[in-house]
Amino acid sequence: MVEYLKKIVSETLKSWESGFIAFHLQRITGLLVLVYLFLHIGVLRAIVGGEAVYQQRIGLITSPVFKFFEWLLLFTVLFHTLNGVRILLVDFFGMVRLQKPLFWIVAALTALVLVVSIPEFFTFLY
Amino acid sequence: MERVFRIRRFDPDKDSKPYYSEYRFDAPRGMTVLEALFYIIENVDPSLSFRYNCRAAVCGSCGMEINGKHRLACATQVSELKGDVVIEPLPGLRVVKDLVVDMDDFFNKFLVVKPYLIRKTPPPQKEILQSPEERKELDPYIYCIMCACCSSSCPVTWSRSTYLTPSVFVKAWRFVADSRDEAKEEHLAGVNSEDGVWRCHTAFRCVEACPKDINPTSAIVNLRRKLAFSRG
Repeated sequence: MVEYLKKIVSETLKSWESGFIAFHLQRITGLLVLVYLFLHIGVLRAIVGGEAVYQQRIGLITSPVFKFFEWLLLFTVLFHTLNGVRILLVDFFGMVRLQKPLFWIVAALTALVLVVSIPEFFTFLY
Repeated sequence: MERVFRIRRFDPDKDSKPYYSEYRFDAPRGMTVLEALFYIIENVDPSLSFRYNCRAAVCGSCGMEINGKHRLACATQVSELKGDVVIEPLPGLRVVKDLVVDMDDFFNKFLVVKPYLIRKTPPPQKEILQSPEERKELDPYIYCIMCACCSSSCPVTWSRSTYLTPSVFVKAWRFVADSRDEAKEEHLAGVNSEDGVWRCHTAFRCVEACPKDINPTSAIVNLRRKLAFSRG
C-alpha cells in the first residue's frame, strides 16, 4: 500500500495530464462527500439532545469558517457530479476522444458556479 | 551541446535501493536517447543495462520512462527533451537491472484473450477475403508493438498486479473487430472478468503513454459495449 501510494504520487508529479487529474479528483472528492455525509448526520443528530443543544450546534456551523467549508463542499459535490457525467459520456456514449475537452468543460462549469455562488456563501464579508 | 543524463540504477544483487548515476557529454543533433545510452556503455560506464533490439520503433523493447513520460528510447530525440534527461525503467514492473524490467508477467497476460485468429470453418482454397473497409476497422489497434508503455503507466496495474492491462484489451479488440475471426466470444470471455475491462477507471494514462498513438481506452469502451449487448 505504501509502495503504491509512493508510486502514484511520484508518477502524478511527473506528468500533469487532464485525464489523470480527473481520475485523482474523482476519488478525492468521492471520499470527501462520504466524510461529509457522516458529519452531516453527526450535526443533525444534535436534535436528539433537545432544542438548546441543536441551536448551539447549528450556531457553530453557520460561522464564517464553516461557510468557507460549505463553499468547498460545493466544489466537491459539483466536480464529482459533473465528472461523473463526463465518465458516463466517455463510457456509455463512446466519447473517448473528447475526454480532454470534456474535462475542461467540467472544470470551467465548476469554476463558474463557484465564482457565481461567492455572494451566496460569503454574506459576512459585506 | 553538453547534456546531462540522469539514469536510475539498481542491481538487486548488489544494491539495497535504487540510485541515480549522472553522465555529461555532447549530444549531437539527431542523437536519440537509445544512441545516448550506447554512448554511455561504450565510452563511460559499461555496467549500465538496458534492453533494445530493432532501433526503429517496431520491436517495443526499449520502452522506458524519459523525463516523466513513457517513450521508446529509439524514437525519442535528445534535442526534443528540455533540461536534464532523466531516464528510468517502466514503473509497475519488477526491475531486473537498471532499465531492464521483467516482462514475463506482461506477456503471459495476453494468453487469456487467445491473441490469434480463430477459424471454425474449413480454410478456403485461397486467402480469406476481407474488404478494405473491414481492414480499416483494425487500423488503430493493429500497430501495437507490446512495449508495455501503456500497461506500466496505468494506475490500476500498480495497485492490482492481476489486472489484465490496456495492451491486452487492445489485442483482444483487434481480433474481435477482425471480420475474418470466427470465435469472438472466446476473445471476449478472456476480458470479461474482475481483472478485465470492467476494472478500467478511465484515467487515460494509457492513451497519453502509447508511443504508436493507439487509443487503448477506445478498445476498452468497445469491448465493454460488445459484452454488455452480447449478454442474454
